[in-house]
Amino acid sequence: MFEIVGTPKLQMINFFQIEDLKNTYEELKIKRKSFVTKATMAYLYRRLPLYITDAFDIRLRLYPVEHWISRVSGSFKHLLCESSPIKLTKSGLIHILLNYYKNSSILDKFNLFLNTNPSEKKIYNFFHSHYIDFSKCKDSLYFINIHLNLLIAEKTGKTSLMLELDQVASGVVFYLLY
Amino acid sequence: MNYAAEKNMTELTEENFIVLQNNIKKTYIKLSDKNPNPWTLHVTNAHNLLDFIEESDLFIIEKVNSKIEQKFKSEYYYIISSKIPLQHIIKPLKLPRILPNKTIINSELLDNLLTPIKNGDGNFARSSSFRNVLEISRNKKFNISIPLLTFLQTLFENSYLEEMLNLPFPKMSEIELYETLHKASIDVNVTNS
Repeated sequence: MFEIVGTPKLQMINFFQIEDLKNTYEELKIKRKSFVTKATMAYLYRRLPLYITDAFDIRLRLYPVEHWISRVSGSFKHLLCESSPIKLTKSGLIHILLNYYKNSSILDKFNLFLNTNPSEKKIYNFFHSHYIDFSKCKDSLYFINIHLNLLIAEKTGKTSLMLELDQVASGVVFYLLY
Repeated sequence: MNYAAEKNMTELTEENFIVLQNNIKKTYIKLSDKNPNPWTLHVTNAHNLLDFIEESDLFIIEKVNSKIEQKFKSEYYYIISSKIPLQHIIKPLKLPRILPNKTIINSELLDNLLTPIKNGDGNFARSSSFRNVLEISRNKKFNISIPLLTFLQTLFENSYLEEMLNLPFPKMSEIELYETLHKASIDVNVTNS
């Protein structure tokens, strides 16, 4: 007669799977708290001007005094926008849409469409018929921000969007937009 | 020692806030007579303020008098900050709207807003030698993007949050997503008008 000694293999696999799930759950809990905290802070500071001071360093490069502003990596930087919206021109609209489609296969189609010298209204129509798939974007919050600002710009003619010209050194982007 | 971390406070509820309030040094703090709101503390002078910042778990300063302004070289008109680790705050704080139009946010607040949670005591190295060589007077003025905030809040209400952090919108259909975006942009127009 045989007798099973120790833990059966199936039970061991279940144990490791449960441990993995526990770890994943803990990570998600921390991320969730981080998200809610940041969203709450943004909510508290809505409609209030936020000033970011800057200074030249020893090499005369312009850096923000607030240390982490030029070292941000999270999606929450997109919660900051220009305090006063400015009028969006046709070339500005094209520039925003080129950024909007930059990681999408629609970009080629949009470039062909631009060759026809379309009016502003036609450009907005193109935008409405060619939304990008946010679930396939790497930085979905950034593209959602562009999408939202395009919707608002269509109604108001103004925008306070800050485009990222270089996603690696994103802090510097704030200063390129003076 | 961080009292919130010691007592394993995972939520900053009103009850927890009162517990924290009772455990910070009362000798330095007086509740404002004019504003009996228990969420608001009134700090009387600059020395108290500095001690308070050093030793308290959480501080909210509503009014800053001239001495304190001098002490801070009028850099911060109003100061709100928190030493509770971010992971201990998961519910919206019921802070009164006390920030006036002229507000300079200190770097700690911006750090909290813009950077991921860092472990440890938050003692980040700051490269002071590489800056402050030549101060310039022009400051950049930002606001919180209300459309995006509205959109995020909608996501949170629909409990898509954890899914969003892991993988973008697996449960939200494309139509739902664009409807939410349109709704966020419409809400802004209403509030602006």
